[in-house]
Amino acid sequence: MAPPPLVDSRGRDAPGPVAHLVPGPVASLVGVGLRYGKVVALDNISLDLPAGRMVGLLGPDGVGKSSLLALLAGARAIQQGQVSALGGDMASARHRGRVCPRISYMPQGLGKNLYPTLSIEENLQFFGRLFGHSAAERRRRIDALTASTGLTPFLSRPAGKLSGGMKQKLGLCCALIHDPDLLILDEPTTGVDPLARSQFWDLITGIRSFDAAQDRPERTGMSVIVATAYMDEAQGFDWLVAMDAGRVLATGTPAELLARTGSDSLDAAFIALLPEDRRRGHRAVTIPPIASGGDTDIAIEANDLTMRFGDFVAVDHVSFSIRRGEIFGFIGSNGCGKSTTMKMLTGLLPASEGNAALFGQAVDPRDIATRRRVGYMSQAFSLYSELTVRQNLVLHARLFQVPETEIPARVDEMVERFGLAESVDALPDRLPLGIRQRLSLAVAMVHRPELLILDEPTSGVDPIARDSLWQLMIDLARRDQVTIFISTHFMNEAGRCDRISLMHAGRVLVTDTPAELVRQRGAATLEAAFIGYLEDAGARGEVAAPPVTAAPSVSTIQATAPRARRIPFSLGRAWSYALRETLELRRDPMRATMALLGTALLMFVFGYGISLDVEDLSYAVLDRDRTGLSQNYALSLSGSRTSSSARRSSMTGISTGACAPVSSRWPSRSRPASRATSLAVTAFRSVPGSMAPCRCAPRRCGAMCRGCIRDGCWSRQKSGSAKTAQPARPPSRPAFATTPTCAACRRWCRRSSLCCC
Amino acid sequence: MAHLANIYRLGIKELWSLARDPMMLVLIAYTFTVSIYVAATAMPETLHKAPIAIVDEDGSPLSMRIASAFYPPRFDPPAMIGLSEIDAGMDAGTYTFVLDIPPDFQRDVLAGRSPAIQHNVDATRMSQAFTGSRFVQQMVLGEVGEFVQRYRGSAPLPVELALRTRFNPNLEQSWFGALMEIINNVTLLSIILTGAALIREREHGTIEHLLAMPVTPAEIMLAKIWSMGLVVLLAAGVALVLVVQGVLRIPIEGSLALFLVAATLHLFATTSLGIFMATLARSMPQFGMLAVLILLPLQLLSGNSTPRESMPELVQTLMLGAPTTHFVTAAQAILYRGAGLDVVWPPFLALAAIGAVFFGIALTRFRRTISAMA
Repeated sequence: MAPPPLVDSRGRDAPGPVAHLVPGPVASLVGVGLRYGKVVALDNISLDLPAGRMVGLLGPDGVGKSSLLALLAGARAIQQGQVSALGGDMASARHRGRVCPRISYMPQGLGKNLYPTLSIEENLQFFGRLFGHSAAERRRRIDALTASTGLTPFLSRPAGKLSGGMKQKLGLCCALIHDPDLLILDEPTTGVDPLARSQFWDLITGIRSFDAAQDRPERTGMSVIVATAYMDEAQGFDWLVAMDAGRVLATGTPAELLARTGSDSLDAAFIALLPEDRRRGHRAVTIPPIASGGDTDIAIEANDLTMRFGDFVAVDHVSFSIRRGEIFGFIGSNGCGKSTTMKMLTGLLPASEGNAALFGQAVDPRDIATRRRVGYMSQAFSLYSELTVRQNLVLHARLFQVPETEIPARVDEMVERFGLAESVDALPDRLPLGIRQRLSLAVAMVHRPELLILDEPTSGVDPIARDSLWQLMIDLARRDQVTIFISTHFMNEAGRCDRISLMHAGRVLVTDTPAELVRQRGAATLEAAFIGYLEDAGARGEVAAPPVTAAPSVSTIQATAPRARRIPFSLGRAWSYALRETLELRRDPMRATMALLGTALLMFVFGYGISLDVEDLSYAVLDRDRTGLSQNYALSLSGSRTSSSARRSSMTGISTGACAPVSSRWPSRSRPASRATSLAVTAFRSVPGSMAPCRCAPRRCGAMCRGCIRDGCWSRQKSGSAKTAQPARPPSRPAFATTPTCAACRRWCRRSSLCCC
Repeated sequence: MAHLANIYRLGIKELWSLARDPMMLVLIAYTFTVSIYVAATAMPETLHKAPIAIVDEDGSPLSMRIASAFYPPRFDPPAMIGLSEIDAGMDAGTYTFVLDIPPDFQRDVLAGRSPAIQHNVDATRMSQAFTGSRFVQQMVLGEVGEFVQRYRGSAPLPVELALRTRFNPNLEQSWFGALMEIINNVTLLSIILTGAALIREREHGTIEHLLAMPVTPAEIMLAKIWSMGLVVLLAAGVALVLVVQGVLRIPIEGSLALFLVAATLHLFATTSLGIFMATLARSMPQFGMLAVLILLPLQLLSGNSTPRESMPELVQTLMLGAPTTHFVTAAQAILYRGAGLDVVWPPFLALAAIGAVFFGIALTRFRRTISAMA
């Protein structure tokens, strides 16, 4: 796993600006500062990073590692100070343009630089095209890279469906496809199982040692800058930079750092390097042994728990039992089924098969009562960041139905026990990660559960906070007899559990005490033991060829490849992006349908549904004259497209009604508060008469005024028996004012009782 | 009892979340103040600065009279152009209306030979062309009539039409615009707030936390509905009193309380819809896309911008299933016409029914998908 010490840099005679020093800095920072709003990410950093080395940036989350790497890669604007990489100032756009194609930057987050819906092949093709390689060139490089990483058998598999280790390798392939001089990796191995991790480092070492061994006049051997939170991993790097709170604590080789602090592990060394006030109150975690025998009360019992998502088996017949007061660890990589198992135990997910019991009762997602006996802390921080620390505690206490009178006391107790007193009124967002994790634990404990299920509670937390969190958990387990079920991918944490289960690909490989596991394998460390078990389980099968032997082929090809030049706008790159976007859209039916059907739907809505025409309005006529003239007027209204005869009833209702006062605004009965009518016409000067207007005047008689009104009759048109006589919409609007309803129609209508309505 | 307490507490939590989310607060404040004011005051008259050109082949006092009848703000000062420029000008979209006054126009008018003026209208200019052409016609006829009669005024008609416009005597657009904007914003905000509340929990991973606690999905959903509904209801009430009645001085005929009852019923349906949409969308961007697709038809076809009667039969029937239709009907009746419960009970009933159905569907869907969210 450890990379061999590097041969001396060969770049002495290089024409490029890279190697004027031996081993000359590949990058250097002078007085660099960076802030996001009020948050200081980097505080006046000055640093020279040696070329041709494997440089490690050490430190927990949020100390500025990623910001530093992004500055070096030219991915973030420089705010303060001077950053130079590969022999030039990164603030200059010209230099960046020249140098960026020679830098490869793999940002943080497993597979974040990959396109999850695209296959391995398509991902690599995309990055190859970006750098302007020809089709044959891309083929050669892809074949070589995938062969050396063992991804060849999976070329057509979508990146989103790869395991963590494979994603990491694919990310590396994508980063290496353009033959970089400087490889920047931001936490490349976080959340990957130890075996995949060791393979990953072997791969990088192989590539670098080959570069270095070749007589390559234009290269100094690839420089690699890696950020990592795993201290044990950093042991194998050439040169380390320990960082904390935006500042550099120390630099040097691992051996130097250990010697300087007089500690035996980098974890301890890092703690020793921290400033005095941070270290205060820290003490090594002590684990009193669990009271053996006697108490055989079982807290959790799982039998053949299985979870399937479609074809994918996330958890495959997992069985274990955990005693009361035990600290039980689940160890495994991301996506191996740890979280899913925990969710099944909390009842968040119903198990596809098998059963689980908490305190002798079967887990039932609908059973609210058992939830009160369990505290759950999910992966990553998941409390309400809009509520203050105290509000969060109170809310959770209430939701768990802690009696109202006990709540203040209970909250105070939690605040004191978990050391939250100073930040009790702060919003969690503003707190450091370590305190937020303590708050999560406090929240999970506020209802005094008998069982705590903790899903990777310590990932990303600095070693001191991690130790204090562990001390709290150990106290809970030993003093309060709380059973703790914890998952982690830190091996040194696994060593603190009473018993652990090693998980891989949904299955439990083995369950025992850490010491016993190490003894059984005859391994030096727990990590080595885990790797041994993984290899037995056939995880090695994912890797086709041993990486080191294949590495030369990668580099040979790279050496012969033309270097991509940076041009302001490249059709090739645009084409590459267009191709990728199209592919992604094709793989995302949801987006495609929304885009296509959505616009079609809106077009239909706008075109068909919205009309600014005044049409089919309801109206009423109060006819108090009842002469031919007034009726003619009413009829011509009904004939126009403006009005609808569907509301005829309201018209007759009014016209046959009694006299309303002439001054009335609306006939009171149909005062259109209910919007039955939006237009009312009153004919004045009442003359007594018996003529009632036809109750079924044709809908569009006035508009067409030809043929018999029976053809235009509304109800018959509706039933579809007389489609021929009139088109539903006359092609043009005739001016009804000048074309009065034909008298024949009206007479016929008045006379005829055959009228359709 | 425990259920009610949980719903209450989770709702309070939602309110805290909202209170500490400045973007959402700005959005609420904006939609219920500035946006209403803008919608009320900035709604342009349909005929405003319409570009018109006149080809004066006559050059007589009458043709000049006609030309001088067009002036701002309804029309741009007319461009006097040559006959050959008509096509080019209209093709380029420079003029919406072009009047061509033929040679000897005045002489023919005076001789009673009924000459014709050519009136070219660019019908691609939406409503400007529709209303404008009639207006131009009236102006020309009016000017010619005055010229012929030699005095200003109109001939007495055989019948006098006494026009009484109820509720909005001056037909002021702002009265309409402001209230419709409130109605629209109630729908918009309630859907976006509840949807965002759920998606925010999902993105922060807090939904997983909630589910591990002794609360049921129904409690979680009801909490979001009541809290977000309350916010929108308060904002709408404040907007009606302060902005509409206070600043814009638009009279409200009916009872504010009855309107708020209608809004409550409506919110029940729309907040359920918001939850439902949030279970469909996997992220905020997807939710946004979905919201556009659903909100636009809901609002445009509800009858608040164009009359329902003018819509095709099919659309009218379909939109009976949408809460907005009934809310608009009830709100217009209450706010404009001062209707009481005796008049608006049918839309109230429909709103309650639709709300119940939406809530049921959303709850079923929420229960089914919530475990997949965690």
